[in-house]
Formats: sequence, C-alpha cells, structure tokens
Amino acid sequence: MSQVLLEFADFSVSYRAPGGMVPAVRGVSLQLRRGEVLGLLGESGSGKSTLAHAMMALLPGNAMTAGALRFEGRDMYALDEGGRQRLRGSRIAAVFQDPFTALNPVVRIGRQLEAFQHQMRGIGRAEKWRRAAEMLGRVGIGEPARRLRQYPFELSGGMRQRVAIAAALLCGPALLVADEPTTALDASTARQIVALLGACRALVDGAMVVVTHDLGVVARLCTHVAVMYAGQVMELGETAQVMGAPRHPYTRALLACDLASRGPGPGRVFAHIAGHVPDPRIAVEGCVFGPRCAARVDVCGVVGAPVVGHAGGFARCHVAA
Amino acid sequence: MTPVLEIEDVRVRYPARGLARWRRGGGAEIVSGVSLRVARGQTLGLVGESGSGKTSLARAVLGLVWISGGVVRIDGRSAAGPRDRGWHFMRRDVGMMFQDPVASLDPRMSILASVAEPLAVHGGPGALWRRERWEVAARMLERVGLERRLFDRYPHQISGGQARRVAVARALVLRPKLVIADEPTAGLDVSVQGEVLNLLLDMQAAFSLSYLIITHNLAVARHMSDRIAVMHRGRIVEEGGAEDVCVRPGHLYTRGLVGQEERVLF
Repeated sequence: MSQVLLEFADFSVSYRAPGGMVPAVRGVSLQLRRGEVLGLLGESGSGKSTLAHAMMALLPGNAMTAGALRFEGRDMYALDEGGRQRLRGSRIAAVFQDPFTALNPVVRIGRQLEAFQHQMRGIGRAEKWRRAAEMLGRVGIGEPARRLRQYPFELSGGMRQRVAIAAALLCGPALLVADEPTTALDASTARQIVALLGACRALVDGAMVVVTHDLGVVARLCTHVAVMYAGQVMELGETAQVMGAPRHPYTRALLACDLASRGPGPGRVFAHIAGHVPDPRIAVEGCVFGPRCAARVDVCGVVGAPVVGHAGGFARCHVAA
Repeated sequence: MTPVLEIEDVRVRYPARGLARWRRGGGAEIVSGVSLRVARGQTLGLVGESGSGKTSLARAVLGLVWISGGVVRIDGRSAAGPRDRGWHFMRRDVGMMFQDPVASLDPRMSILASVAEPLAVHGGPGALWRRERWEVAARMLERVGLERRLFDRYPHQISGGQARRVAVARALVLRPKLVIADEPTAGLDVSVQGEVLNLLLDMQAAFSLSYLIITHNLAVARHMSDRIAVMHRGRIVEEGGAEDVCVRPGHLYTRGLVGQEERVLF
C-alpha cells in the first residue's frame, strides 16, 4: 500500500519585496507517496526551486506561505523554526545544484560527513567515520578511507556531487530533494549522477523529488512529473503519460523544443516558445500560459484555467485533450 | 578557395605553477596537435565533454592563449607570435560569442555601448565617429531582434535569452567572415534554445557566415552543422559529415557520446 509522505494542499509562497508581495508559487496541490520519484519540471521563473526550498524548509526570511505543506501528516509551516530544523538533516535531506559550494572548502571530507550525522544520537565518532566510508563506497567512490582525509578541491565535480549525495543519504532521510543535481556537470558525468540517483531509490526509505529543467533527467529518473509554469502546476501525471501523451499545450510545446527528440529532418527551423515567463508582480487575466499558448481560445484570456483531472493526474487547461 | 579557418597541428600548453614552470615539458598540454578547417559558408560543430580542450582551441584561434605549436590561418592570413600585430587584423574577421554572455559584457557599459565598442577598436583608418558607431550598433541590435527599450540597459538587467542576442550582435557588428559560438545554448531554458539557434541560422543566411560551434550537446551540433569534429583529451578523434558522425560513429568515444543522447521517450 502506498502511503502519502508529502502533501501540498493549496500551497502558496510569496516573497515580500520593496514593491509589494511577489507570488512565486500559487495554489499547488499534489501528493507524493513512498517509493515515488517526483520530477519538478519548468523553465526559470516557474517557481520550481521555491517549491523545492519550501519542502526543505529553507525558504528565506521574506517568504510568506499560505495553505498547507504536510510532511508525514504534520503541517511543516505550522511548526516553529526549531521543529522544522529537526526535520531538516534527519527526515529530509538535500542535494544541491552546485557541488562546488555545497561542501566547506577548508574542512576535510571526513570531518564534514561526520558533522552531517550530528542528529544521530548514540553513535560515536569512530562509528560515524565508518558509516561515512561505507556510504562513499556505496555511491561509487573508490578508496573511501583515503578520500575522507582529502579536501573538496582535490575531487572532481562529479566526485563532489557523489560526496554530497553520500552526505544526504547518511542522514537516513524519508525525503530526498535534489535541486538541479546535474545542471553544473558535463554530459557524461551528469549521466552517471542520474544513474546514481536512480540507484538511491533503494537506499531512501521514502520518496525523492528532483527539480530540473532537463527532460532527459525526468524521463530517466522520475516516476511522476509536475510541469510548472508561473508558479502553478500545469500538468501532473505519471512520467510515461506526461512525456508520451501530454495533455497540456505547454507540456507539448516544451517536449517539441527538446532537440534530442528531433529526427534528422531537413527542416532547419527550431521549435521554441515565443514570448517569456510573465512578470510575477503583474496579475495575468485568465490562464497564465495563455499569451504564449498555440492552442489558445477566447475563454483563455478571460477565465483562469480549470483543473481537468484524469486517472493519476491532471492538466490545468481549458482545452486539455 | 581558401577556407575561412584553417588550423594546422595546433598545440596549447598551459604552464605548470611555481618552479615547475621552468622545467622542460612542464605543465599540461590541453590541445595536442589539432588540425581542422572550416569552409566558406559552412558550419563545423566541435563536440566533446568539459576538459576536452574545446574552449582552449577556440581561444587559440583568436590568439587569446599562447599557441605552443602549429598555425592558425584565418582567410589565409596567419600571425607569427603572441605579440604579432597580425592577430589584430585576423580578429577583425572573427566574431566570438563567449560561453557566458553576461560575464563577457562589461557590467559598466550599456548594451548599446558594448556592441559599439568593437567598431572603435577595429575602426582602422576609416574610423567612424561615435554617433555613427552607435547607429551601426543600434541597427545590428535591431537586426538580431532586441527591443529598442533594452538598448540603454546594463547586462545584469536583461534575461539570458536577451543576453545571447546581444552576444550575437556584438559578434556580428564588424561583419566578420567567421563566428565562433562557444556553447551558444548553455544555461538557456529549452523553450529559448530554439530561438537562439534560429537566430544563428538566420544570421548565417543573411551575412553568409561560417560558424565554428562549440558544444557538448550533440543534438545541437547535429542540427546546426555541416560537419562535426569530436574532441577528446585534446585530440580530434573523429571528423565527418554531421549525420554520418551521429548515425554511424566510427570512434569508440563518439559511440559513447551518441549513446548518451539516446533518450528513453515513451
């Protein structure tokens, strides 16, 4: 039986800014069950990183939340900061985009991996080092004992990302959030890290969330995908359905832009989505994607898009197929 | 007809740090004897992963790094050493789009001033007056599809896609024969990548340009290029027609690269 691990109920995040409130995430409702890997896919400015930071309890001080974000049944934003902090690093762990800044440059890797386990009570330092070495081995780093005595700068980008993943797994989290884990890496290293994250599913007794703008990462890694645009989830469903038979025009347009899926055809015109992501400070009348949508009809500019549900997902669109 | 770009057995070696610098053969050879040519009006895609020497090779073409061996010829002309004035004239014929368009622009110069700057540097005897330079730059910015209201902005005030357009305008403002585009789509959203590639194709047709496109994205190289060269550890391991290289890769390393691009689409 699949249990709900993480649930967003009409969850919104706005940032306080000099010119007023800037909404970044608007009314997201979705559930994540144990064993699932959810991909948050979207362009820059779609709110995917804000949503990821919300579930890692890492929102900056000027962020205001509304609605509920329930993790293991408890509303995270009804807890005090101390309560959220206890979740972070024990039940929830994170892997960030940049493996170069995720680690402290002047502390040896062993010390850092030991410190990552500070919430583990009742095990000694030697045991923490032993666990660290074992975890480095499991994420595919050779000679773990030697690596523990090295500094981050002595490792390549891919190795550092492996160390960051090992650090996240050492906490034994129920939720692993990977924020753009492959963006800073080159193609072949990125591929290895995706494979490693896929293998991590077995090590995480819970669920994973992968934030990315890379369709290939979603296809290879995620069981479910939420396509985000201007702070809203435009389409949600199983990866095979969303990528194979997308219902939302925005998803279709994104997939069409993917060069890797293009055939060798002679036509040398590249698909793109004209226009740009709307300024979050300016309210859009009707559907947020309306102005850039190829399938728009009159009603799109007047009424906000309705959520059209189907088995296992939904699309937020007037004309969803 | 002379090729626009001809590289013969070019080597780039970065010196070791400290005392090791003075030892014979110290340092690391990043580009180890590369020979390539780009024919007029054609596009050569240079693919390879980070650290393979792609960017160093591009910088060598412009004389921005020390070439420890070999010759670079642009439209038949070459320069002897790093201090040779010949580089200045060769560079006039080459437009460069650097990897990070925002970082490659002067943060204290407006977009328009940045695009006008090459006209002052390479003006020569028939130098234009400042006002004329700004007019030429404005026309080029309009040609690449940048809105007029953005001309007075500074690099940090524009989006990634807009910054690419500025980079294209700056590369083209001298009407070069060859444009080197280093990772033209890196860091862009998929929805914008196509827009930039279309612009490059459009400009190629309009100004009969030759391109050297450096990318780690094989799909970009495949759809943009006539020929593809695959670089690995400082050497060209394979070169051929774009489709041939992608469909029937000969070298083991290329096969790996092509395999990576296969997507599991349902």
